[in-house]
Parts: sequence; C-alpha cells; structure tokens
Amino acid sequence: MMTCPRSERLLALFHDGELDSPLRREVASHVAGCLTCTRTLAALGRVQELVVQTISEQVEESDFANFWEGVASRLDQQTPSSWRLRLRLWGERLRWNWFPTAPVWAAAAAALLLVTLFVSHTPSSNDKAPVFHEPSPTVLAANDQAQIESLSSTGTVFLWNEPESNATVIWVSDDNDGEMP
Amino acid sequence: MTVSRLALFCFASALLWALQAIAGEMVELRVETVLATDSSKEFDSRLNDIQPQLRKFRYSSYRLVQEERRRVAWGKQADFFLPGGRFLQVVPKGYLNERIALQVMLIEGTTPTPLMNTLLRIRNHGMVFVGGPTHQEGTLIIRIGATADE
Repeated sequence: MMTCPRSERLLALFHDGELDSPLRREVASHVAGCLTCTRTLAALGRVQELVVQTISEQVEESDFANFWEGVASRLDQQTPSSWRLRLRLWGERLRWNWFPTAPVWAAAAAALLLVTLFVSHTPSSNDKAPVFHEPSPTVLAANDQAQIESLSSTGTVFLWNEPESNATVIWVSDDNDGEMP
Repeated sequence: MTVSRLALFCFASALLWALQAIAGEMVELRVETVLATDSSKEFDSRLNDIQPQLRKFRYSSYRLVQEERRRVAWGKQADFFLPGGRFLQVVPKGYLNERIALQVMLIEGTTPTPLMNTLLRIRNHGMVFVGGPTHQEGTLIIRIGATADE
C-alpha cells in the first residue's frame, strides 16, 4: 500500500518517467486518489515548464554569430597536436615505405663513415689522447717556441724566447716604464 | 632482427660516431695566472711543472692565483677574467702543422684598445707566457696553453 510520504519521495522520479512499471502503476494509483500528491505532481510539472521556458528565452537571447569563429580559433590553437599527429602518420608511412630498403640504409651508413673518416682524422677512442695533456718541461724544451705573426701594444712590449726551455714570453708593461723582470 | 633493422642500426651508429667526431673538433684552452713578487721566497707547488721557465723571471715568489680551462670550438672567442679588472680574449684560429694559431688580446678594464694584441702559433699542447701587468705588490705572469684533438 503506497503512503503519501513514500509517494512524495518517488514523485520526482515518476514525473521524469524513471520508475519501473510496477512502481509506476502503484504511484499513479496513489496520485489518482490523493489530492496532496496530485498537487505536488502538478507543481513539479509547473517547475519543469518554467525551467524549459527560462532556458529557451536565454537561448533565444544568446548571440551565436561568433560561435563558429570561436570553434575555429580553438581548433587553430590545437594545431601542434595536429602536427604531431601528422608527423606520426608521416613516420608510420615512412617506416612502411623505407624499412624494406635495407641496402639504402647500409649504403648511407657506409657513405657517412667514409665522409667522416675523410673529414676528421679522429683516432679511435682507445688511441685518443687525453683531453688535456700536461706538458712536461722535456717536451717544452724541444719545441715550445711560439711563432709570432703579429704583435701590437699600447704600452711597451718585449718579446723573447728562453734559450733553455724555448718558452716564448711576451712582456707587456702597462705603466710605460719599460721595466723588465 | 631483420636486415632492414640491422642496416638502420648501422646507419644510426655511424651518425652517432660522426657527430661525436665533429663534437671532438674542439680546442682546450688553459689560462693560469701567476702572481710574481719579491715579498717572500714562496713557490707554489702547483707551478712545479713550469718552475724552470718561471725562475727566469727572477722574482723570489710565485703563486698561482687563478686557473681556468675551457673547451671552445675553432673560431670562437673565450674570455678569461684576470685579477685587477683585466681580461684575456683568446680565439683559436686554426690548426696547421701541429701548431695552433691563437689570437690573444689582453684588455684592461673598459679600455677599447687592447693593452696587447697578438696572433701567434704555438705547438699543440704548448704554451706561451704573457707577463707584465702589475697587481697588488707584484706582477702577473699568465701562461696560455692550448690543446687540440688530433
């Protein structure tokens, strides 16, 4: 037996047609004989009408003239992902088209190796000299004399080579007194 | 692994190797600044390898006040700031007959004209001394060294 409190809880669902058949029949039967629930159901219908009317009015008042321009602008902003997608698709196509051409890759690798060997004379990593080699005095004594191609100074400048070590010294006097050590 | 993938792997390896070879074409510049004075008998042990050369200057004390190493590409300028508001501009110009061509400019403060400007060639792993600028109670002696990947 449907009571008013239970019916009131179900009226909103009944109004929206969301009750299953037995329950719907039970609520309908109760509403038919209950003035309070009939009024509540009528009020629900009225509320829905008002909501629909309000929304319709607002939609009519809305200006959709720039709507598609806005959509287009948002689509433009998403161009990078579009480019990424294009790049991925391009990569996929390239992979399928190029993978079978092993001789091309092999030839390219060989050509690159030859060009690199020709251009740079870098030895293999095992033979490579350390990044910085501490010059020893013995080595310096043999060949460390610098070759000066040009030299200018706003002060007094002296240039000499140490006869024993062959080290080249450029001595600049910034106070113009010409003093040497 | 298919033949295609193997070939692609070889190509990628060759490319990496080539890039490494290109990246290796750098010059290491080393600038050491020594303060030479007559105020004491101190000799900085970090300068032991160039003691014979430094002793020729006939100061009684030698102290390493600054040391800087930098790897630069050919033709690129490297600025080394020295004590007393001076700085050294070094440009490795090229490498020929196991010699490294260096453009060296010693600049003092904001003076537009360099105190010294020279184009010289030193042997690979070699060095040249630039001395003379006064600092505090002594004189600065700058060792400029360069090492190129052969």
